[in-house]
Amino acid sequence: MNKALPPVFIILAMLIFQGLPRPLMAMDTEFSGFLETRHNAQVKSPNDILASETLARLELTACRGNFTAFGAVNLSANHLLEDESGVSLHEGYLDYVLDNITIRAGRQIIIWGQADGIRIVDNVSPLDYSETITRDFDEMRMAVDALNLKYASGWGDVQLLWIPVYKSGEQPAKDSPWYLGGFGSNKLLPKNEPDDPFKESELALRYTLYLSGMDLAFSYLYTWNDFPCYQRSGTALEPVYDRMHILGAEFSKPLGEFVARTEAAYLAGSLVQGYGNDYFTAEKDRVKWLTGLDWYPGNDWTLSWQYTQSHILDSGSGLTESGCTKTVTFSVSKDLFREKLTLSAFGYMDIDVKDGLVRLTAEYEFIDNLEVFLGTDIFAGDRTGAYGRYKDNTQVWTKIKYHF
Amino acid sequence: MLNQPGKKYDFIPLIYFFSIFILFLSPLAKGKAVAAPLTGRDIMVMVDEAPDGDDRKSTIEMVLINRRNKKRVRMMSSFGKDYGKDTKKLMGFKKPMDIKGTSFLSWEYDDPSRDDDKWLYMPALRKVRRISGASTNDYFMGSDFTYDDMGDRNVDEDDHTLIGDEAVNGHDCWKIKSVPREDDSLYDEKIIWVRKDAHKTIKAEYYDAQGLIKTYTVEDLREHQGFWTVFKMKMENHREKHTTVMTLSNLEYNTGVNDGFFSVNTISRGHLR
Repeated sequence: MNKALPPVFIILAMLIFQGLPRPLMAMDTEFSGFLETRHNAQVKSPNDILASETLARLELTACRGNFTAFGAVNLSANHLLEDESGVSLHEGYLDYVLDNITIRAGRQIIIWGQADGIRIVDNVSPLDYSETITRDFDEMRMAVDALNLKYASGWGDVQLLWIPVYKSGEQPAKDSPWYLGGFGSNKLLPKNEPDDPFKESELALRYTLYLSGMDLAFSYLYTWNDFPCYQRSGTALEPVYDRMHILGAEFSKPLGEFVARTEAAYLAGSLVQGYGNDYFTAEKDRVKWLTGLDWYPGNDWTLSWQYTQSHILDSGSGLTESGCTKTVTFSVSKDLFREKLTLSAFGYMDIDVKDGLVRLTAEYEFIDNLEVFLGTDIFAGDRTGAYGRYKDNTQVWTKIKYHF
Repeated sequence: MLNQPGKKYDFIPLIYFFSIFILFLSPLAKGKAVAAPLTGRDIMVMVDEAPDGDDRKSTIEMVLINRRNKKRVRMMSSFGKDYGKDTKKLMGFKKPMDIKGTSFLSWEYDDPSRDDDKWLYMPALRKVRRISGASTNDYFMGSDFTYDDMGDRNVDEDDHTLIGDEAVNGHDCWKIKSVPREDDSLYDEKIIWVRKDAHKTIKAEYYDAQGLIKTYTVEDLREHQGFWTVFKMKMENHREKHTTVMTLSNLEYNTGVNDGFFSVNTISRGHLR
């Protein structure tokens, strides 16, 4: 499922390893991970199994001097989508820390922004939608192969990213209950993903400032679209990848028991899918913004609300997505019995389409390291919407997770 | 007019006299200040200002024991550095494994009108989140200690009255009653026993309108690297029949940790070294 690490990283890792004192066995090592099994069942008849997977994640951390090596491997047995089963490198990187400088090289998950469950400035690590949004947002993250440099100073932190290997997001396969539909009887040409590690690499710069009473961040990302758009090429449809520039800004401020936060992004030249008489692609600028409020009233309650808009500027006609979407999210969480039981609810609602998703979860820690989850995902509203289309997939689910 | 310089010189013996008088008087004045009875506030300020180095680090083990004597263990690395009366703290969780890697950074201000700055790094989300610094009455990690109990509370947020002297486990203590000035505390009053030789609280009882809620006791207090240090403490919640035992190990004072360590950049790495 995951690509092998590119040669440039292997060389870099070898060079860094040359600096490591030997024997490596003398390193301070720690083995950890988790074993989980999760199963989702459709509420409506025919009560199909909508997801079923057993996953072991094995993590190894080794430290020596200023170096820390980290590797995380997934061993997955997907009982529903057998193609998803297998062994994959979830993350694998080497850290070098010297005073205010941190260098992380290798496969890593990079997440920007403050938003919950919504991507505004957070466009570095793509998402795995193979089981759509019913997985936890953090479990849908895909690592990118990157060189990540951070410099921290009293005047703020600067982060510089070089991502030489393009990483596409994952969409639900045809045999998945979450399949979005395809392009009818059209033949699709093979994907021609960007693959030149120098000319076609992605670059990013982020500046963050953590002040007393306020956080600020500004970012620039020179990237590709996560998923291809398609245009007619002879009798087939050709996947198209295109560059875009993303400028982002983030702000958060505590106000007593509240934390107000906002973030915005300007996506210059993002590729959008069109369909008039035939499939076509268009480059459009987009503006996305979000404002949110977190409330920490005490007694182990946490409440959060977000409002977000996404605009395609000069959208014209024929695009397969709306020129403007407005979404509200909410979350409520309460810890009980000394944090042994956590009850939570998270919801999305598209204001225009009038559809939504509500996830209710009960998480119980039986003993230290062993958690049992029970939950339901309720899809509702107009079937043309991103959530309403899955109305028949309203599901109940359970997960058992053991950490070691 | 011509006689004025002469008059000026006449003052010199007078100045000497007063200087000598003041010199003699000053020990008396000082003695009088020492002899003045200590107030509850004076003692709590001494507790607050008891020397504990410029910075410190330790490993903290917290054992949560329920009414059926079942135990849950939390373990964390803790770092702190003083900036005048303000403190920067960083805590990284090691156990249980489901929260391993979670880190917590706080910049705590002595001024009670100023909310602390707090950030939380959640390894599953791979991101740092600013959280509210206002809810100091919340319990810490399911334990019987609130953030206030762990030292976040400013001395002048309570009125302190010295109500007597009493020995606890053979140690002379001041006994103090502390009552919150505003209705912002879980407790209506606290009775605190402060060891006279160490200026450390070694016992405290927490009351609300229904009576005694919790009792705090220190089980291991000794000097370490020249500083009186609590190595083991216990908080018993009498209502819920629940106890938390907190033990410190690997404690070091004045490590010389640099200021940059207490930053969001440190916690966002996901592993503390």
